[in-house]
Amino acid sequence: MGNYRKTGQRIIKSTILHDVYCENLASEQLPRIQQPLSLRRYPEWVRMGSLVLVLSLAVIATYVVLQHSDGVIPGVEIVDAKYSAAGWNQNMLPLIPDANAGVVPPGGRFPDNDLSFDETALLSGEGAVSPLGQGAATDSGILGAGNYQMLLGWPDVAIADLFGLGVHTIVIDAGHGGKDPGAIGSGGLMEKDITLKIARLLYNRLADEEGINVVMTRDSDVTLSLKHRVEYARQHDADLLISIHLNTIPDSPMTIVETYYFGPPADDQSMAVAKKENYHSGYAVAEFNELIAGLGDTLKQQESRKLASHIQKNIYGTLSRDNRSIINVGIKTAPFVLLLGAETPSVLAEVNCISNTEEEARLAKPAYRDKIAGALERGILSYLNQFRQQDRQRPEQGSIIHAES
Amino acid sequence: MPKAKVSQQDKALRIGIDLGTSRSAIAANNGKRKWVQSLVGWPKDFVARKMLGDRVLFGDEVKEHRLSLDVMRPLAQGVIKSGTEKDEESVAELIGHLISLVEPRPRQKIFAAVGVPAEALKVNKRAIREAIADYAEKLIVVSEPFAVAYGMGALDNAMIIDMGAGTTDFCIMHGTMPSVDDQRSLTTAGDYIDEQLLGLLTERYPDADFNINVIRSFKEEHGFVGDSLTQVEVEARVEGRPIVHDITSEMRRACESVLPAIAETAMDMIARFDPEYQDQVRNNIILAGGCSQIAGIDTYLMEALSEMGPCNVSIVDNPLYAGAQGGLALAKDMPYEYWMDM
Repeated sequence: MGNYRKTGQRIIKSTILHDVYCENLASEQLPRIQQPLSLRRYPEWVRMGSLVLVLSLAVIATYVVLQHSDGVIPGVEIVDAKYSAAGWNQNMLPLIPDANAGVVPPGGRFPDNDLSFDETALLSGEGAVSPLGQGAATDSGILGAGNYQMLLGWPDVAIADLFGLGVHTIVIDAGHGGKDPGAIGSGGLMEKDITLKIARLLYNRLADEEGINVVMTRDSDVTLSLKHRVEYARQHDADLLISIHLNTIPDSPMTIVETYYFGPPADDQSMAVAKKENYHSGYAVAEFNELIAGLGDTLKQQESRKLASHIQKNIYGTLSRDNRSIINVGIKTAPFVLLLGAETPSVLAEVNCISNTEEEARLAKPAYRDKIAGALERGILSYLNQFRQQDRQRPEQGSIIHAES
Repeated sequence: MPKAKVSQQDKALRIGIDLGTSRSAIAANNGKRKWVQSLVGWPKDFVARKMLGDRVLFGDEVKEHRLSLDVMRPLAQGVIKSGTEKDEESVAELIGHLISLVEPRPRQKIFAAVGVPAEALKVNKRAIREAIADYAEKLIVVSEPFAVAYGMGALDNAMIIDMGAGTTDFCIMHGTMPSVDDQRSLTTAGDYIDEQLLGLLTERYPDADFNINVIRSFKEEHGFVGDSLTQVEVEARVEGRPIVHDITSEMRRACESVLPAIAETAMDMIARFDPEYQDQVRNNIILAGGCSQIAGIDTYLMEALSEMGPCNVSIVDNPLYAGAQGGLALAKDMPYEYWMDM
């Protein structure tokens, strides 16, 4: 018994130490405060030596400049790094999906101007091999050198930024419900119940945000077709839709988190997930064709992708603290009817894996569900912050969004 | 038997620092531990420099020469005050002074785990990181209540209430690093009690010469809540003459003034915790920080929280060093690859 307790304590300690590391790592990502060079820690002779060296260099520099009073120093070319070819390297290539994987480039042909290379790679699961079957491709991939030339002529700007658009109404959709339980964990936990609870928590969190109207497609255990959900979003003039779901991976203890926006499937697994979530969509073929006609919606895709990125980053960041083995599959495209039908930027977040017994146990706890809701809230608010930044840049236009991250 | 090769990290001095609003403490794995008042002072003018030399003073020395000094209390209200260069410099100076007190060997590398008030962790963690950059090779920054919890091994289903000078920090431990939702801060803490007491005594004894430093020392010596068996009598000057004053009822009122908010916050946090584990948390509440030394505070809180069911409130053995020792435990346990380079 004593040994068991000691082992338990050791495991907890090890988890906590890893968490401390992750949290400190996260604070490392904050912008570095400019700090003047400090010589405090060095002995007196080093400080004096440094002073003499700096003065000597200053004298030499002054002498050289005076010798070339036309202001041009031979051998030195002043080049603005921004426009310098040398300032560009291969690592700075924009990320768009691999054309060979059959994925529609998110955001049309516009590179996402919101995320750095590293951030985009992280969000899209770059670097972490997709664990899901052959041919699995996340929404990433570096454009070939030939294709890259094609992009040079395109303006590096998102449409929402260009027109100063804002967000007023957010629709939260709790996946499944009523007769459709969604996935069921081995302990009997149903996806429909957990998504509803998380949706309520998210609603409570967002409801306090000034200038944002939040609505839920369902607030009880009722059966709703996907068509009904889409129409609900349209009726409420939704500016943003987030659908909450739980993943299930049969016969595997794996836990993944992924966020989808509309597009052709990136892999077989995405197709399977879409098929599962599209079950009982409620659309007739003619109506569906109408939806398909509205596909070329660049704004929706651009913004959906951004929103998906922010949500995925926060969900993974939060859940990986509790479960180190959780896998960041990144943001992906898949043909979900719900995302296709909504006329607004929309994402479907698979916020956890109910097929994993440990995660199922965690999902049963209110505190854990609140953590997930908190992560979704942070994702949405950090996405909305782009509009706040626009407000700052264009005060004369005004906008009602004042969300804080 | 061949002598084992000592790796670089084994030679490093591991330290835990508790950077508090009122007092800061340090504990090192060379066995040394020290504390100072969190006060930093610079000579005001050339006369002061002539008298004190061109140096920065700390703790008691600042109190002694405060009229000749520009005095900073770097973490007033639990945060680096306004984020100005001087504020950050004072934190850096204080950390440098603390490290010098545990006497690292010349050029010895330092791996530091620094506990700061929870608010400072939220507001200016980066500034604290910058402040220690000159003194340590590796660093981790955590909240004070978390450091206390780690040091005491209270890692699962426990609540730490760290009652400092600037803030009262709450932290629920549940086997993982506490998230933002698991931590809260109130600005009603030791400084608030001092202000209340000063107000009450000035009202009752308008002629007596009280100031905030004197009041703080009264609280530290005689602070209590609940019923007192003895009268609290202190000496204060009236028109230059020392007069004994009875401050029993004022002391009790001032010390109790912070407790309703603390009890309410604790109850709210426990109520939001997983119902399955609420009993365990309620029976594992640990008080830390200087204000935990106020007599009767554990009993008062136990009674206040008893409406939720039976509970147990204990007080850390050594509140002055609990945070620093916790930081040191963290510094000792932290695997090398988890340390952050400066």
